[in-house]
Amino acid sequence: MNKDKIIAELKKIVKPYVQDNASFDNLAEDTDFINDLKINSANLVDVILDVEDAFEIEIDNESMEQMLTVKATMDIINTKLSEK
Amino acid sequence: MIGNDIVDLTIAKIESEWNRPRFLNKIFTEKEQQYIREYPRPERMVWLLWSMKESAYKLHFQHNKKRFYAPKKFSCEMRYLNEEEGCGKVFFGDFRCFTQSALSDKFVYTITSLEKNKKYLSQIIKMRKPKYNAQHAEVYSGAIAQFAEYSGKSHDKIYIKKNDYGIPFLYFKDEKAKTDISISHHGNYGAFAIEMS
Repeated sequence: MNKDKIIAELKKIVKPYVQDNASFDNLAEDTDFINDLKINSANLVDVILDVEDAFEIEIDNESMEQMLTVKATMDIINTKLSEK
Repeated sequence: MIGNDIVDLTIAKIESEWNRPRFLNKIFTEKEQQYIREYPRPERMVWLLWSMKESAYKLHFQHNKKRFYAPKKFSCEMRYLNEEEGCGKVFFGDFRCFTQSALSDKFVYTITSLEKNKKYLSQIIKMRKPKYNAQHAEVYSGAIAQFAEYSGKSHDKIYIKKNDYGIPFLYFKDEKAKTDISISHHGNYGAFAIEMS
């Protein structure tokens, strides 16, 4: 799946959990979910579950450990999609 | 070193749907899920365990400065629990720490330390203001006041500064104090914990 499409989908997913709207408007590959978007760490699991549902993939615990940034999440989505 | 974490239960109810499919299994070990099922107020147990994991992660981060998201790997063991307080341990590989928790209808709160029965100065603050920056200032000034009283140092020369990793430290007259501190806020509650030597 191409980058822009994944980012667009990710923006939709993270939006309800974001607590810093300025960072959300500037969301890019290097955006950090917790430090930049101020997503509550308990809501990060919601982001992960929503990503699983939206892309119809399963994110294992090892992959989940890295899911702190947009970039890392995109890489995991692409890896999981290619394994399907 | 010290870690703490507070969960505002009213806000948690709004922010998180803990009983959505797969939620518990992503975060909690089999044993922890059993604690949740068997506890009369499962929701409170969810957030109690979460605060144990989160404060243990904070402590671990101070230790090795690595960021990651692996809540399930921080495995909790409850040693004692009543309506108002609890204590236990959290394990993460070889890393092990001790927790002390406080519970109420409004919040759950955990302090974590590497040593058992460590003494702390800690306070839970009900925030008067809704804005993050104002809340931040409220917790800081509460912590400074308590540290001043405990150490006998002049209150206007104490301040708190975060290092490059975002870990807060107490300073007195521009010198880093040997006493460690941890700060947490969520929703309408804030808390600090200062390790007593």
